[in-house]
Amino acid sequence: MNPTGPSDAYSNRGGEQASGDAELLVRMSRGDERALGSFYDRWEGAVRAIVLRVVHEPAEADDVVEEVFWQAWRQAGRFEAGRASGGTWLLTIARSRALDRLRALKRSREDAGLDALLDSGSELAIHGTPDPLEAAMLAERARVVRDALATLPADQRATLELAYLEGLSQSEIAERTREPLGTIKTRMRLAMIKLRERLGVLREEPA
Amino acid sequence: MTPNEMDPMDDGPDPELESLVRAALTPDVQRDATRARLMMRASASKPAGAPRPAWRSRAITGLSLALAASLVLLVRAKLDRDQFVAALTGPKVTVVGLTSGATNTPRALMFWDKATNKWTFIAHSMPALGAGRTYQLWLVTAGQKISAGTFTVTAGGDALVQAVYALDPNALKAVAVTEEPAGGVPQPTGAMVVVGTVGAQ
Repeated sequence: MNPTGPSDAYSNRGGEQASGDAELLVRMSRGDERALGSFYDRWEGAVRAIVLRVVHEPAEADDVVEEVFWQAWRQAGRFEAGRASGGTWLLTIARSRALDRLRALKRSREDAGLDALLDSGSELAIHGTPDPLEAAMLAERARVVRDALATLPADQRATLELAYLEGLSQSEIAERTREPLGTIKTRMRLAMIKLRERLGVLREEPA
Repeated sequence: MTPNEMDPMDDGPDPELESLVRAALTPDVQRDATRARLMMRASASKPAGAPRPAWRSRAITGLSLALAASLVLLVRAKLDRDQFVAALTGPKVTVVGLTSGATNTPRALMFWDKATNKWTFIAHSMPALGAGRTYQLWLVTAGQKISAGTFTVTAGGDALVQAVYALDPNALKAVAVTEEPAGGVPQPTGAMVVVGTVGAQ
């Protein structure tokens, strides 16, 4: 898999990337599958992060990610480069489809927890239209986190996987790994601090 | 900075960071599988008159008669999601990664579910084929190179092939893809494009 997000987004604030996205979308509108593959490789990480923020179940989120790019493929001809960047357009689709799925899950399960999520501030965060800088930065942040995860000690990464992929609580992780709860908490804290430090560099960068 | 100076838990939940971490932890194979499904749907959706990738023609040539009875190639525009995930993640699934020595490398994974004898092959960044050429998939055992069928790829170099074939659970030594004349050959003759040995991930 190619690295998530365009590698130059951080340095040039998405300028070249935006024009590259527009070109990819034009090619997609003409039925160029190779452009769709490139668009997916470029934006999959950011799209998945947005979707996972709304739809917490990985299998459901995976399905939504596919639907987001499918919609982009079907509607690439409607994209107007003068009105938004390609990334902005895609992430707006991602937010809409993620909320659609959350609402569908809520209807099918009548899950009070989903009610709470829909009512929570997280929905505020996913409404509205992202600007081009925000879209580029999210792609870059997805890439940075992915790179940073690869540098974590194996025990910290394994702990994060149990927490975020399997959804285990820290107590459940301790039970599963037969290690003291304090050790698990320390690992989680050290891992998250490292990730925040890496992202903090991006946050502090002047616009 | 020390943990005491900056405790992420002290700041309360950070939904954005958590979603970034969860996205980043997503296994490559899952990203690749999503990509393969997407590319397959895109191929199937092309308007009439647009170039159509030949791999959708579900080529089943190149198989020996003995294998043809037990080997069924399935290439569908939209796979059943549950079956697809089960074929990739079942408890008895062996995964063989295939790589190439070239730069900008083709990548492929073969999932062998020994419980159901189902084989799922996913590839992308495969080089385009010339006219009259095909890729051929091989299951390599100690004494045999068994053809698992021929396939071609999308314009983006993607391929997804599913097959059902019973093989001794301990017999597989490697999985390989060669480039061959259209129609396939009884034994490999062409250049090896990707190859992976069992257990060498």
